[in-house]
Amino acid sequence: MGAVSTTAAAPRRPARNWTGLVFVAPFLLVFGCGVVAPLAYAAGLSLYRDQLIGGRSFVGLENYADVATDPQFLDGVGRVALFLVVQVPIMIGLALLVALVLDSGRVRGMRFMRLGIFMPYAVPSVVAALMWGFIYGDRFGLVGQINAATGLALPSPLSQTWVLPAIGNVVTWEFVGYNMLILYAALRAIPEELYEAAAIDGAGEIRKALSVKLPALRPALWVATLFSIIGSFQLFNEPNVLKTLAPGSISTHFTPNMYAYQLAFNANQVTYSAAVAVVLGLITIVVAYAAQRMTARQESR
Amino acid sequence: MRLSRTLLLSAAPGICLALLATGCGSGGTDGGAGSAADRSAEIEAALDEGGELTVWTWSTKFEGAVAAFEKAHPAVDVEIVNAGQSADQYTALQNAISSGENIPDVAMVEYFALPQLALSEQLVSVEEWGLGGLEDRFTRSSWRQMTYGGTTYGLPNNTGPLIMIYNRDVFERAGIEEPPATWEEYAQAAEKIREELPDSRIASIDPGDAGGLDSLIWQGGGRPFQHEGESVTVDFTGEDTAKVNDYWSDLLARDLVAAEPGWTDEWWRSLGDGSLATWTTGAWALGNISSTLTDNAGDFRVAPAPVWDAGDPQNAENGGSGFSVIEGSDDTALAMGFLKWFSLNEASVQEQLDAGSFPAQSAPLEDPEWLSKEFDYFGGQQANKVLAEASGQVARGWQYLPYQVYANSVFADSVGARISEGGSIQAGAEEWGEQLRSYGEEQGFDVG
Repeated sequence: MGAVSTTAAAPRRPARNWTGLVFVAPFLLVFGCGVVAPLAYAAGLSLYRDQLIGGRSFVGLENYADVATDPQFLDGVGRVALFLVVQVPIMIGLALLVALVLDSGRVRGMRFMRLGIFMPYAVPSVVAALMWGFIYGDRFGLVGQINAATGLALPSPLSQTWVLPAIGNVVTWEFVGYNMLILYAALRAIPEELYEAAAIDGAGEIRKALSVKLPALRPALWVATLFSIIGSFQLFNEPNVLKTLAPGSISTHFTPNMYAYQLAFNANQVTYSAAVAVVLGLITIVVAYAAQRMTARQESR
Repeated sequence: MRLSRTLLLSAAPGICLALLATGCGSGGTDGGAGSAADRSAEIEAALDEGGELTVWTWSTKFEGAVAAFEKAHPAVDVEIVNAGQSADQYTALQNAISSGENIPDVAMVEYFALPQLALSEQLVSVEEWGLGGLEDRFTRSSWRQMTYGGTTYGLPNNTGPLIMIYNRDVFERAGIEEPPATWEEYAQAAEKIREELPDSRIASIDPGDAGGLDSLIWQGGGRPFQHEGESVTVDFTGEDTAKVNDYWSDLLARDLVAAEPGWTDEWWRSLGDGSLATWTTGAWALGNISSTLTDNAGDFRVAPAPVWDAGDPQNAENGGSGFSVIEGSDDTALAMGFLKWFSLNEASVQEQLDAGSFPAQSAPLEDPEWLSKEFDYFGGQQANKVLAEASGQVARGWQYLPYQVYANSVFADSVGARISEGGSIQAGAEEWGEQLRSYGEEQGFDVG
């Protein structure tokens, strides 16, 4: 490289301005330390194997091969997938219904209702699960009292058959209000002119809901669904709390997150747990992405 | 994802520290196991010099004893920390040791967890510090349970020989005059209770409590877990093991016992209102029931646990724990000094007895005053006599796995699921055994 060419080119090339980096640095630092580094560390850890006898050794991708065929992991993934396809539509459907009813302005005590439905979201999920655990009790709980008072023989919600729907009920109770609020906020953002135009065209409330509100709600519905998909795969608190009341119905691998917890804290397998966590993260991303593609395709039609 | 991320975040700096710690901590103690070196002078000096000690226990029965220790050793400041119950504490302990931070000096360790903690080098041998000679001050069974691979890792503190707490009123209403002495009589009593009081059952069996079933198998003569060095045997197919499992499957199938997790609000209320007539458990439970079901004073009595052969009564232990000095303690000599005084000094032991602990020390078990103590809660019964007799009948030869903490954590997956749905406990136990064998292999044990 000649000295002449550098001096000649220097003024012409737009000097790279590094000042911006100084402003971004705090974010990059926190992002790097708080998000990238732990993820990389988890991924790195998942390449090792811990043994009570033998200690830690490098095993490459063996843990991932094991995860792919691990019946306990697959059992948990299958269960949350089932939970996802049943519970999420019910919850979003309910939230949508309530948001539309509130938005129609035809109910009394709107503010009270809105707050009332949102309230369960403010209850910590551990407390919610405990509370429902008491309600589900078939001796002294509400279920037991209904049975005693009516002579019915309702099955225990915490039996092996009913425990998944019972957890679905708790989660729905907790999150309907939250989703309702997302949808309700989106409804309030629809410009008044659209309604006016619809009214001039002779549309009633139901027609307005179907032809004006629902299309405008698509992005909000998508956000609510995405959160719910992620929430389903991360299901942990509710079954983990109810497990003390129903240890025979909720196994240590009931959900993939519970399995990861069990592996890390009770089974001395932090490294395998890291592999489970990485795979679960990937599955969540794939499912969320697939759901997005589906809605995107519908929109372009 | 979130879970493991926080976990790893907290572990990462710890690993660096752990490396540092092992680097500088490898000098010093090289008196291996078995060397009965007399280091009492060193311990005494540490006690005189004083310092701070952290003791981990989730039990509330030791505050008095610790206060007594501090009174006798003004230079030493002891802090009791509740780091979680049982498995939670062992996880916290493992995390503390691998991070090298907040390591307690002394911790309560249940007998079932001792092999696992000893194997992973979390505990300091008491023989190394000349406390091995204290063996005959404790019950034989409890000392053996503090020993792993020929080395003793701490001093026993409390034990749980099986006893049966029963509701006298329920027995009377069902026409049962004497508490059942054998399991055969127990099954007959269970039939009577169900017949006379359709809403009551003789007991509930806990689908989540591995220790409960373990102790019943131990009492019945089964020995499903054995270990020696790095080799481990898990076998639930033994005749005596199957006998116990099938007995309880049968009671469940005939709806003579309930399947309900213990220690929940519902369970305590069932015990309090007579829906459950008995609780077969460790001797430590007397303190728990009298402090929880305070309205039931006078309702309950204590009897020996039913046995399989009235002519040759065999007992077992349910729970029980000792205290161990933790590897990485800042002041091991001081910790050993505390351990010895706390475990054997008369004032300390008396405080523990007053708090309702059932001793592993031999002295109180032979003390006439302790034996003849009348319990108001149990209608003035001299309950300690029943407990002491049970303690003397504990059968030999029981071992826990060097990964019993894990084993207990997955008990409900196989056995608990059968208990809940009234299936075959034996089938569940064999599945449990299968899982424990493959886990043992994965963990590098030689599984037979």
